[in-house]
Amino acid sequence: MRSTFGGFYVAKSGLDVARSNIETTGNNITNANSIGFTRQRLDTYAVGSYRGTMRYATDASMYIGEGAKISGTSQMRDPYLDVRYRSEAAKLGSTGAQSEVLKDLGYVFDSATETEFDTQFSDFIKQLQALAESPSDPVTENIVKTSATTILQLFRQNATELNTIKNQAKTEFTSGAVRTANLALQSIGELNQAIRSANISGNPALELKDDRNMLIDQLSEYLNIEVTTKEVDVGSGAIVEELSINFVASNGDKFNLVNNDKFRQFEVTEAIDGTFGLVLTESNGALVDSSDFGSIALVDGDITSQIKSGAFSGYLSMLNDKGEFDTPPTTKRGIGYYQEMLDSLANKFADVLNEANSTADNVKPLFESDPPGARITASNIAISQAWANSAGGYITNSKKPISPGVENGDDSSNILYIISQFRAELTFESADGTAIFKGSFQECISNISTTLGLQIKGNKRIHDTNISNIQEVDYLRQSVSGVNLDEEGINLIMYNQSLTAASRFMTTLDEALETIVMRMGIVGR
Amino acid sequence: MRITNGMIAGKYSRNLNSAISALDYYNNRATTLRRFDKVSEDPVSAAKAFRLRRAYFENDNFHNNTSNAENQMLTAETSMRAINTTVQEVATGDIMKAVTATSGLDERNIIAAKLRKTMESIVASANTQYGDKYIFGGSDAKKPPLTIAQDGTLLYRGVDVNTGKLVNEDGAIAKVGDFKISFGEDNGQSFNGYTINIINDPASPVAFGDAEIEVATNTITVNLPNGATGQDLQDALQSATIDGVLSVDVSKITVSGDLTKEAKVGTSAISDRVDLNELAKETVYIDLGLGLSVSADGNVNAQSAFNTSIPAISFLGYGMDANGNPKNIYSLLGEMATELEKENFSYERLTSLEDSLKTQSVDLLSSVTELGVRSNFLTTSKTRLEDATYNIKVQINETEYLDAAEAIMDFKLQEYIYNAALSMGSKVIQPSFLDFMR
Repeated sequence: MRSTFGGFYVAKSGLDVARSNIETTGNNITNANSIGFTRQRLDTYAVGSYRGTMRYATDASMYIGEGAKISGTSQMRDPYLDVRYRSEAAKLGSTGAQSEVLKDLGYVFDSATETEFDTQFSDFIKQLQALAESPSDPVTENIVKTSATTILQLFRQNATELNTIKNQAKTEFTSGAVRTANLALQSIGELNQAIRSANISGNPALELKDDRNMLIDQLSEYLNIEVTTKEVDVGSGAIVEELSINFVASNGDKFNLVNNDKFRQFEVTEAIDGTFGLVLTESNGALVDSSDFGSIALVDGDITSQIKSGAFSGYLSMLNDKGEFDTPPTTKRGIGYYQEMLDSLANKFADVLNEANSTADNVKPLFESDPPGARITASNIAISQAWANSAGGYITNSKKPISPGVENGDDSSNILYIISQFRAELTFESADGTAIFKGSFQECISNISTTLGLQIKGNKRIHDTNISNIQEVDYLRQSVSGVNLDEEGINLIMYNQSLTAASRFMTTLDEALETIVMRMGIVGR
Repeated sequence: MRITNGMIAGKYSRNLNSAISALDYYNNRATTLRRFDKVSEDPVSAAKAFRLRRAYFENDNFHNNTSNAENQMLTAETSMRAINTTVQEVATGDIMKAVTATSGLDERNIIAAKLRKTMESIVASANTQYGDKYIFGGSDAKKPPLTIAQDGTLLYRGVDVNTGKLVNEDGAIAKVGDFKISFGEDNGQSFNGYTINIINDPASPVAFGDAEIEVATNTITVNLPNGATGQDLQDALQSATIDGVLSVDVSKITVSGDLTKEAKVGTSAISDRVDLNELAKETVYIDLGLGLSVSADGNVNAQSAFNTSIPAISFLGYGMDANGNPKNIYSLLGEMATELEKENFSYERLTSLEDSLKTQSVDLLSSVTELGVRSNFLTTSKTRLEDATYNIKVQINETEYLDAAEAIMDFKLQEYIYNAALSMGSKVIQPSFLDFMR
């Protein structure tokens, strides 16, 4: 039999639990729209009778529970959904980064209505046709020269724009993506420490965990990560949670990014040939010790080749990949592919026309590089000095051997040959001579546009799928973690009633005691 | 599944956003009537559209060229018909029948004067221009093709139409690179048939800066060091040594052109004559979209382009016939006039010339007819190109543009969907349980 007033403690525990429940519900309601907030729940348990093992214990039927007790608060969260969300985020990050860069490239090559480049080639042919009708006419030749100059300007303009896009992508990559990821890593490390200290003093630090989860979600957009937690007993019964994050490479190799309060950082490298890389460093900037990764060979922390998903991979692909111009050739076309393609077109254009205008013993180039001597590319192509200085009659009308003493200034067979070069199937080559594309000049221009068009279209389709996938997972996640106001309202009433009931229990006890104390033993008084 | 208020609101706002972006898309389509603005919207159609646009530009060029050629051919036809009419008057005997073996000098002089007038009109007609182009000049349209030398011979672009001799040149000539080498009038025909070789060969028996004339092989070898100019070439030639017997004055050899320029290696035949046959067959092609095919050395496939060149000598004749009479109509008329003006004229000679003229006039007539056929071809080509342009326009329309009715229908439908989505908004954001709590 328990003590006379024992019941009051049971009633009090009921009041405590009910009030805490109401407060938890209130916290949920007030945070219904807080970003990243996870629905919280009060963990309670029934306290059993503690007299079971006493030596002079009474009858077993007398074991009455000692009320309810709060063990703590916890979050409604499904770790499996977090894993799914983060792996989808990596895919989305990759297509998202690519679509950013592709959108910029689209301004240069994706327009179906403003095709100045193609049109200018058509104009050049038109002027050549006019020249074929009145060869060596200085006025017509000057118009041809002007038309050619416009083509060259468009070459240079496009090359400059591509360069700007590459610089922009570089800035987005280094100052945007890498910096954000680094800040996230640092914050996660710091939060880990804060959560640990809180845990030691018994605080579950649920809000800090929400913050940390948001940062991990953010980090997962940049590369494929794996999050592991373990519970560590720090003595005196306190259990803390330690979290570590690994970057998981495409082949399954794992590289530690965060281990409890220790974290690493990413650093962008740029090689002389313009390729970008990503290096893992310690938080103080020191090189990582490759022995940390066991048998995985890692030179100076360079993880570039291991990154195959996430925004980092998207940016690296757009910055480094040159598709058919890479050795071995691939189908991954970054900004470099479009630059090389334009260079190859400019080079072929200059080569073919220079050759068409020259004879074995009379070299008369129409175009040259500026400054001269280099391989002609879209960014350095210029009208040759000789042509620029000529007052007319520079374009070779005819290569036919002529009878000395007879003028043949109006035989335009060579101009027709030049015109025919615009219809000829040419082989466009990379700087090292690998054949990339076969077709006419203008087909090559169209090919650049349609290749980009197809790439944008394909990327958009995958990106859209990724968006709807991640929305789906997020939906499921919210379904578990989000606050439903109906539910909270019901809880409010329910817990309020619990509180009322517990109070009623106490009043009942009080009345019972009153009977015992005040009314008992007064018979006959 | 557990649904929260945030989930409903979030999903609704996403859906509303996709409805309004679709509305924007269809609005754009309905106002521009374009199927696509970006290649990425429809890469396959865009590729086709690019090809069609090129074809359109190209056809436009061909059409321009054809129109120009047609007009030029019409001008040519008018001139040739005029020449033909005057020549036929002489050839059919209308004028010449007045002359008999016994005609007196005065009588003959009148006929001769008539012939000379005809000759003048032939030259005038053959020097006709279309725009600023001389249409009967073959590959030289800048200068009048027919000129008369001081001795009265007819020159076609400076060449004697009967012999092919370069009348205005200083003896035999050669052309190497940009330089013309004249071998001197006084040296006569000594250098005819020779070949000049300009070499740059330290191993050659001819030293640098020297020239050697080898009579046995009819060759002149000039060995020039690197960077030698036209002046150096002239100096070498003027001090050339002769290997063999040849009576020439090498100091008369001159080089013309910009003598400060570099003299390049090369080979050229030396001659004071031009192959008239070649000149008469000269071609100037224009591109009418017949699948232009030109080799790197400038040989145009005759079937792949249109030849606009009508060298004057191709229909007026050149060289000499078997009877020793000139084949050229102008020269024939000239000789006839000269014969008539002679005190002791030979009727036999006149008849022989008349016979030659008849033969030539038949050729002239057939040239005029042939030109008619060529003009006809241009007219057909023009029609063909106009048809092709129309077809391309239809195809461009089909590839790039939308049917207005369809575009507006799509827009209206999307507008309806968007309005429906909007009106759903107030229903989606429902009151919650909390609103009903007392």
